[in-house]
Amino acid sequence: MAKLLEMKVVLDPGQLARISTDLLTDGYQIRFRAIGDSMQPTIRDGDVIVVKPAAGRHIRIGDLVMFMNSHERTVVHRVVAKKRNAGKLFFQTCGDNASDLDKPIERGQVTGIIKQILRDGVRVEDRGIRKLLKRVWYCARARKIKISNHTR
Amino acid sequence: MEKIKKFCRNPKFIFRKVAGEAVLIPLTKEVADLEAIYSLNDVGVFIWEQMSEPISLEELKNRIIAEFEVDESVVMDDLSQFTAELLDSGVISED
Repeated sequence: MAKLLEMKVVLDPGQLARISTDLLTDGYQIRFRAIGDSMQPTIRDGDVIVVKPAAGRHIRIGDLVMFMNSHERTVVHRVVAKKRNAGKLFFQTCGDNASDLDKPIERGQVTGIIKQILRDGVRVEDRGIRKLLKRVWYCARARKIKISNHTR
Repeated sequence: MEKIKKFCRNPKFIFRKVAGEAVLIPLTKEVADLEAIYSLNDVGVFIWEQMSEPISLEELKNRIIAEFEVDESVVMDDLSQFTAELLDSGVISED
């Protein structure tokens, strides 16, 4: 028989996206290591993120949410605006360090809401006025990107 | 008389089949840890399924031989090693 159990496998991004979506849809919280710099400095490459299911939860502007993009990859970005179109709720998302806005996503595409960010095992979290200011700052930044793209 | 050891799954592991990969994901403090995933091959999946109820290694060996065409001595060696690994990593426990 071949080896039955392979310990601690590393999943490819597509598999990670599918398993994440599957588990969150089933009501589990998940944790995984972030890759990339689109959310710097809020989330750094290598930070561990804890995500809770989005189903049934209210999503506010400024929240960090998780969704699967059109390339079937897991994305964690910030909600910078909400809009309704033909009775459906859409979110505009953007990375804190991204130079472009994402394609708007439907409410149903959001699978998770970021609950905790751990850096070197320690929880990093903004609270109170700092948290509010950060939300306002990054949403204003996204609006600036939108205006700048519009006038190009 | 010595009691026959039986083994069963640890409910703190979630089993999923995604994109052709069968994996076990540990639940740590109610959070599924995607940093510590275990991969199972077809025989491993079969064993995991059989362990939904407490089962002895002897019974497990017989079921594997009935399901897969494998040599009995090879099965017992691999099964003992596999069970030890699962016990070490907390994936299963002794009933």
